[in-house]
Amino acid sequence: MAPIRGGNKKRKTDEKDEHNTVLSGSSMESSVDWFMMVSKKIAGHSVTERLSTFEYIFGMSRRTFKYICSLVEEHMTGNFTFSSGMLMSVDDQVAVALRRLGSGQSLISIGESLGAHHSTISQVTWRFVEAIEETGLHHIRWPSTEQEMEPLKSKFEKIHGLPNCCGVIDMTHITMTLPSSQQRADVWRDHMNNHSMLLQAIVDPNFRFIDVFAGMPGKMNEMEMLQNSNFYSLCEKGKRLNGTTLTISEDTELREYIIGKEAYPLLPWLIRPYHEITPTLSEQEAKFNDKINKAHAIAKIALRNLKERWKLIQGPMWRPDKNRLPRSILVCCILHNILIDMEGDMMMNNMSFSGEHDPGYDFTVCESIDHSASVLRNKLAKYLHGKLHY
Amino acid sequence: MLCSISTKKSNSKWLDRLRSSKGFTSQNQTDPQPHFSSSQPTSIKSTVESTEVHGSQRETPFLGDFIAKMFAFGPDTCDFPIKKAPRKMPNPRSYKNGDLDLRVLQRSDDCSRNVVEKKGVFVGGGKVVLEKKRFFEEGGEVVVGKKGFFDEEDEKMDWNLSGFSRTEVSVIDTSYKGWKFEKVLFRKKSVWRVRDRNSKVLNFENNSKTKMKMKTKKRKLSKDEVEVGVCKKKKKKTIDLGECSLAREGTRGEFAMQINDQTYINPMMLLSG
Repeated sequence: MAPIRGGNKKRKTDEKDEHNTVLSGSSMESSVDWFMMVSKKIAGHSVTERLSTFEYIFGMSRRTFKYICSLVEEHMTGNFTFSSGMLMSVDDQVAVALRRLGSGQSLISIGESLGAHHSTISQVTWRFVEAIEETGLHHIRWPSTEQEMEPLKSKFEKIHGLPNCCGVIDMTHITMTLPSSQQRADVWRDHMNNHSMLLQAIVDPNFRFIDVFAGMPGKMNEMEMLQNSNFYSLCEKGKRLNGTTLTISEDTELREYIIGKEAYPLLPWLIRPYHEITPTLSEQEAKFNDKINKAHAIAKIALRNLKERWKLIQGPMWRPDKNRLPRSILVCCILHNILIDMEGDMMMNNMSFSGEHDPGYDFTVCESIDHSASVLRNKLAKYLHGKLHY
Repeated sequence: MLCSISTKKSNSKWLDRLRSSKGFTSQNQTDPQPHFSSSQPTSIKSTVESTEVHGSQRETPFLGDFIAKMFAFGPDTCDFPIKKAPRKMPNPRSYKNGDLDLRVLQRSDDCSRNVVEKKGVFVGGGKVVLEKKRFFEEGGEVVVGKKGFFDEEDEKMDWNLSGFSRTEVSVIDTSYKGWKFEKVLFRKKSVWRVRDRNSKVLNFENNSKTKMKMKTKKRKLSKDEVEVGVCKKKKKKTIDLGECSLAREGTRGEFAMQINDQTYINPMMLLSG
C-alpha cells in the first residue's frame, strides 16, 4: 500500500517545530534552559555530565561568551527568525555564528541542527563577522609604544633566550574547493596543487596575533607574500621595529627584529636560521638554529590552534566567496585573541602543541640574504653561544 | 655612441645629396634652425654634450635633431612638412612576449635602446633585480619589489601588462589603519604586479566624472592613512625603475630616458611635439 502523500514531510516539520520552540526566545539571563537546549542540539543527544559544561560546547567560558555578545550587541539588530517564525535573540545569533565558524560544518547541516534556514545561518554569521570587525579589531594590534612592546621582548628573552625579539612570522594556506568554472584559476593553485588563500601572521610569545595579512592567492610564496604586506613597507621605512636597541658587543647594536623560517629572506629586521643543508654548520650555528626554531614554533602552534579551533578556515572550504573569506579569516584571528585575552591560562591548557598547521606542505628556502643582516646574525649567534657557556 | 654626430664635414656632398633627396635645396637652406625652432629642449639635459660632438654647445642639439630627422628614425618624420603623428594606431597590434614591450622604449631612439640593452638590468622598486636574459625572455616586465611602486603616471601607461593574468582580490592587512583593500594582481610566471583596484578604473575609463570621483576618494584615503605612507602625487611624474627611469615632463609629451644620472632625449617625441 502506498504511503500517504506528504506524511513524512509533515512529520519532519513537526519535529523541527518542536526543536525550534525549545531554542528560540531565550536570553542569557534565563539561560540555563537555553544553554541546555543549545547543548543538546549541538551535541546531538542528551546532555551528559561532561557535556553540560558551557566550555565544552562553545570552547569558551560564559564570561567570554557574554563579552562577545556585548561587543556585537548593537550590530546584531536584524530580525532573524528560526524556521518556526520565532525571533532570534542576540545570544542565539552569536551562538549560531560561533557554531558556524567553530564547526566548519555546512550551512545546511547547521541550519538543520539548530532549526533555522541555511540562508539565515549565512546571514547571521556574516552579520556577526561584520560586527566583530567593527568592534573587536583592537584585539589585533601591533604594540605601538615601548611600554607595550617591552613585556613581549622580555618574555621572548626569558623563554627562548632571544634578546630584543618582538615576534614570530609564519604563513599558512586556507584551502578551498572552487566551482568548476574557476578550477583553472592558476593563481589560486598553490605548489601542492590545492586552491588556497594565504594568511600571514606575526605572533607574540603569548600566541596572540599582532599583525595579520590575508587574502592573497595561494600561488605566492612566503617572500612574495611578505613583500606585498604593509608590515614589510613599514619595516623598510624604519617605521616599525624601530624601538630601543641592545648592545650585544662593543661594536654591535641589536635592533628589534622578528623571527622567520628559512622561506623568508634574511633581513636586518627578520632573522632566520642558518641553512641547515650547509655541511659546515658549526656548533655555534647549530645551537643558534635550535633556539630560533624553538621560538618559531610559537607561530606554528598559534596557526595550528587557530585552524583547529575555528574549523571554518581549516579547509577545504566549499566554494567560498573569495572577497568575504579574508574577513572571515580576520574574525577568526580576532576571536583567537579574545579567547587568549579572556581565558588566559585556560586557553593555554587547551592548546595543542603538536602537529602542523599546513599538513603536507613544504616550503622553498629563500636565497635572499642581506649582507648586514648576515653579519648581525653571526654576532647574535656568537653572543648567544657565549652567554650559554658563561 | 649615443646620438653622436660629426660636424667636421658639414658641407660634404653626401649631405647635400641627402638634402636634395628629401626635398631641400642644399645651397639656399643651410641653416636648419627655422625647421626646429619650436623643439628646443629646455628642461632636459642633452646627452649630446657628452658625446664627441665638436662645436658650440648651442648648436649641437638642433643639429642632432636635424640629423635624426634626416635619417628617418620613423616613418612619420621622413616627409616635410611635419605631419602630426596619429594618436591611435590604425590597426592596433599586440605586443609579443619577445618584444621589448615598454611602449616608451619603442618610441625611443636606437641609441637609448642600445644603452638599455647594454645595461641589461632593470630594478623594480629597488628590491628585486631582473637580469637581462630573463628580462627579454619574459617580455620585459619590470618586477615589482614592493607595494606602492605604481604612481598615477604609471597607471595611465598600461604598458608591459601583456601576457599577464589579472586577478582581483580583497585583502586584509591590519598594519594599515584602513585594513580592508581591493587589489588587482597581475601575474606572469613568477612575476607579480600588485596595484589598487582604484587604479584600474583610472586606467580603463576615460570618463572625466569618474576620474574626479576617484581623485576625491584617493585624497580622502591619503588623509586617513598618513601613518602608513600612502604615495603622494608628484609634480614631476617619474616612473622609477631603479637604475633606469623614464621621465615625462611638462605637457608637450617629451620623453626622455634617464640612465645613471644622464638624460637621453627622444628626438622623435621632440619633433612630434
